[in-house]
Amino acid sequence: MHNSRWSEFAVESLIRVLGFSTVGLVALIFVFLLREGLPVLSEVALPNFLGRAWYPTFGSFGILPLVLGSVLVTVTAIAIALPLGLATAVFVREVAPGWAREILKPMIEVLAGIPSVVLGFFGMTMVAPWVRQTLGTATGLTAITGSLILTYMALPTLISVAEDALDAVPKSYRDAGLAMGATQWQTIWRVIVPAARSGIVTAAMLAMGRAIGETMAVMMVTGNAARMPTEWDALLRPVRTMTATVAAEMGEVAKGSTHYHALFAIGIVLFVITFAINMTAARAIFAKRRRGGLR
Amino acid sequence: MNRCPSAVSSINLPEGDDLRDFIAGRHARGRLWSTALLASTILAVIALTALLVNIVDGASGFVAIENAVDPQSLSVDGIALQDLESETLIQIIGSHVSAAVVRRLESEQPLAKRSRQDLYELVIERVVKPEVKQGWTLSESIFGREEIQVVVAEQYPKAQLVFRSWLSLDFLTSPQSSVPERAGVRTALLGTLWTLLITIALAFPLGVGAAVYLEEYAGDTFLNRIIRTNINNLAGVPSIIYGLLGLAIFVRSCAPITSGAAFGRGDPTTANGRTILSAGLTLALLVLPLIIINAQEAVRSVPRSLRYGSLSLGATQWQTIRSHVLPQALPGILTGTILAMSRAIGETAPLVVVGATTYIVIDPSGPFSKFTTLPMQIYQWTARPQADFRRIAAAASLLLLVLLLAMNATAIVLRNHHSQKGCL
Repeated sequence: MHNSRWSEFAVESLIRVLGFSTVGLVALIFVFLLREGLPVLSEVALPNFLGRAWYPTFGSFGILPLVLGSVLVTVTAIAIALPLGLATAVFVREVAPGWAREILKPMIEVLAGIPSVVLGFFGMTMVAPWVRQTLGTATGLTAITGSLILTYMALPTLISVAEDALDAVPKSYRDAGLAMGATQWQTIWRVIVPAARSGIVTAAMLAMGRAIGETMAVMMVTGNAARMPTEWDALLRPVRTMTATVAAEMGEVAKGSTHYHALFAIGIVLFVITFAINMTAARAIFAKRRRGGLR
Repeated sequence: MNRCPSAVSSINLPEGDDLRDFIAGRHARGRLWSTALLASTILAVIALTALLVNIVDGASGFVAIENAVDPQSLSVDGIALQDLESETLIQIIGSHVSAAVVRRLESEQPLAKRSRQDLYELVIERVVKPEVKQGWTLSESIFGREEIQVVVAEQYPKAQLVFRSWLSLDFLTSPQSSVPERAGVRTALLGTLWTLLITIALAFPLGVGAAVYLEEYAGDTFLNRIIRTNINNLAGVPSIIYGLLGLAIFVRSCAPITSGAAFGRGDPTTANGRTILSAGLTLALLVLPLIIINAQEAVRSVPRSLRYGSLSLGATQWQTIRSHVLPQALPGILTGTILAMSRAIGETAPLVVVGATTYIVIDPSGPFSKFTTLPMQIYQWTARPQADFRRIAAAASLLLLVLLLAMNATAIVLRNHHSQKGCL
C-alpha cells in the first residue's frame, strides 16, 4: 500500500513537471531571444537599428525595410486570400451538396500539408515566370509572387477556421432567415456571415500569423532585395522579409558579432508581432464566448 | 441544406409587377452570388491542381542523352556491354581511362576485387559518360513529341532521346552527387528518418504527459490558465523562431553534448554541434504544442463515466488514467502525433538556421552525424542554375508529397476507425 502510494506520487509529480515544461519552453524562447538579441541595442545606435538601410557589412542594421517587406507581402496575401477563403468556406459549409463537401474538405487538408519548400519550388518554376510575363516586371521574383504563394499557405487555415465559425451559427438563425422570406443568399450574407463575424476575424488573424512567419517559400520567390517598399509599384519589385533575412544570413555570421545579435533582434520583433496577432485572434474567440448566445 | 427557393417561388404571389420583379431580382442576385461562390471554390481547386500538376510535370519527361563513347562500340565479340565478364570490363577501363585515374581507383579498392555490377557502373561513369544535353517536361513530351525529335536531330545529332522518370529506384538509393543524372536522395532520406526518430522520442512522451496533466490533474488555477493560453500561442510561433532557439541552445550552448564530444563520440567535422541531435531536438520543440493540443482533445473525448467507473472501484487516479483513459484516447493521440510528424518532415526553415549541411555523400550513422533532410535537399537543388537540378527537385518534391499523403491518409484512417469505435 505504502509502495503504491509512493509510485502514484512519483508519476503525478512527473506529469506535473511535464505540464509545466510548456511554460519553461516559452520562458526559454524569451530568455534566449532576449539574451542573444538585446545586446544589439548597446552595439548599434537606436536610429540606426530603426533606420531605412540594411547593409550589415557596412554597419547599417536598419530593420525598417525588412519589417515593411514582411507586412507588404503578408497583407497583400491576406487581401487576396480573405475573399477567396471566405467564399470557399461559405460554399463548402452552406451551399455545396454533400458529395462536393466530401471531395473539397480532404483537398483543403492536402493543401494545408504541403511543405513550404515545395510551394516555393512551385512559385519559382510556375508563378514567377507567369508574373513576369503577365505583369511585365523585370524579374518574376517580386513581392506579388511572394503574396500569391503565401495565399496558398494562408487559404487552408482561413477556410477551416472560417468554416468552424459558420458551423457554430445555430440552425435557428438560418431557419429564421428563411422563414422571413429571405432567399438563401440573403440569409447567408445578412444573417449567418455577420453572426460568424468574430470567428472570421480570428480566421484572418491566424492566417496572417502563419503567413508572416513563413520563411522558405517567401525566401525562394521574393527576390530578397533589402530595400524600402515605398514606391507605388512596390508589389512588382523584389522585397525581403524578416524571416528570409534570418534564414539567409544566419549561416554566415560569427557568434557574438553585431550582425548575429541583430538577426536575433529581428527574431524578437517577429516573435512580438506574431504574439500580438495570435493574442488578437484569441481575444476575438473570447469575445464571441462572452457574448454567449451564439454558440 | 435548407434549400427551398422553389417552394418560395411556387407560392401564389399577389398581383403587381413591382413585387414580381422584386422577387425575381432577389433570386437572380442569389443565383449570381452562389455562382460567384462556386467560381471561387473552383479557383481554389484549380490553384491546388496547378501546383500538383506542375510538380508531376517536372518529375518525368524526355531527355536527350549524349554518350562520349557509344556503348555498342564497346561490345566485344558480339556480346553487349552489360553482359560482359569482369575481366573484359577491367580491360575496357584500362584501355579508355588514363593510367593515373586507374591507379587512384585501384587504391580505393582493387578493380579485380570489385563486383561485376560495380565494374559495369564504373565503365558507364568513366568511359561511356552519358550526359543529359537537354530535358523536357512531361507535358512537353506528350504534346510536342515531333518537335522534340526535330530539335534533338538538329542540335544533338549524336544524342539519344530517352523517356526518363526522374523519380526512380536509383533516385531513392543513390547518394547526393554533383551530377544531376546520378544524384539521389538516400542521404537526405536517412537524415530525415534519423531526425524524425529523435523528434518523436522526445516530443511524444513530453507532449502526452503535458496533455494528461492539463486535462486530468490541473485545476482551474491562474497558473494553469496561463499554460493553456501559452500552448495555443506556442503553436502560432513562426518556425524560424524555433530555429533561432535551437541555434542558441542546442548548437551554441550545448555544443559539447550535441556534437557527441561529451560521450567520446566527437568528430572534428561535427564539433560545432550542427548534428542530427540538434535538429531533432529543435523539431521536437516545434511540434510539441501540436502534439499537446491534439492529445488534449483525445483525452477530453474519453467519456467521464469511464473515469468514474474506475475510480469507484477503488483505482487510484494514475491507475485510472493508465488503464482506461490512455488506451481509450490512444488512437486520437496517435493521429495527432502523425499529423505533427508530417509537419516536422516538411519543415525547412529551422534546419537552415540550425545548420543542416547541404552537400553530404556519406550516410548519417547516428545522432552525432552531419545531416541533410529531404526538404533541405529540395531547397538546395532549386538554388542550382542547371535545369536538370530543377527536375530532380521536382522528383524529390513528389517523393515528399507522397510521403506526407501516406502519413495523412494513415492519420485519417485511424481517426475514422476511432470515431466508429467511439459510439460505445
